[in-house]
Amino acid sequence: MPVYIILTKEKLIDEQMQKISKKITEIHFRVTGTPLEYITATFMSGYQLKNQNKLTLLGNIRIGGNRTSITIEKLKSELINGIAAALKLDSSKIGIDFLGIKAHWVSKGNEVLTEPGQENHLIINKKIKTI
Amino acid sequence: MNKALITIIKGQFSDAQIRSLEQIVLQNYRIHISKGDLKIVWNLIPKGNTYRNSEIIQPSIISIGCEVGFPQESRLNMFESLSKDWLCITGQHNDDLIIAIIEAPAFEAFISKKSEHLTHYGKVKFYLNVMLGQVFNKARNGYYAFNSSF
Repeated sequence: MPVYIILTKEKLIDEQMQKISKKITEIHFRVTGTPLEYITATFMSGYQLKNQNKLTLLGNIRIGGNRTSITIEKLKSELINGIAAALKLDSSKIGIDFLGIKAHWVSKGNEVLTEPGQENHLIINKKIKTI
Repeated sequence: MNKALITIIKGQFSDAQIRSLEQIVLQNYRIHISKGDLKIVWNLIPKGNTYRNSEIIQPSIISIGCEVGFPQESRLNMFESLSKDWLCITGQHNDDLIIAIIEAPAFEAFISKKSEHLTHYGKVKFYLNVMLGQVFNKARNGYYAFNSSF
């Protein structure tokens, strides 16, 4: 977590997927402080997107902790602009939507995720049963 | 009936492994979450389409619906027990396993989120892919599955 799903109509080539995943990782890390090894991006094609979008980004991200609406809006804005620049697309052709998931609902690598803002704990390899 | 959506890489596991994984998900669900039925659907991602920190990875993401206010102690027990059973069958590194036990309203939003961003025709095409994929895979392989890219 976060897990970003990138929907497109046409299948993207490997280079495009790499560029987008790199951009998502950079921006999510910079805006939220989430460690890089927690940021996942997966690509799915065949989707007829609304508003003639070329790409729609669905982010399943943690909510709560220090994550304010301002942070969320900044993240959305930077992701749209960053991906548009990486792919040389008009930013109006990129859709974005987030689903907020509570950190304690999720485990990864035998750890329960911590609240946003307490990312230092993520690196300590906290075991499930000790939380 | 609660649902589970399990996202894996297409071809990563054999049909027999998937059926075994389905059994251990169901067993753990009945011990730790609910005695009721659980519909498990497998979402198959093409190989090479999932990245973490710029590297291609092959993760498994298990998302299961639960009731609102589900006790965290039971969730932790489910995480621990299911992780152990899953990794024993798959041999994956534990960093490649994500388990989310999500309260029902958020789980429904999670399931429907994709279709909210599709045109009318896109929704029809998507649901046909999901339904036909599930029927085909259930008949042929013994589990419900569909391709995430089509």
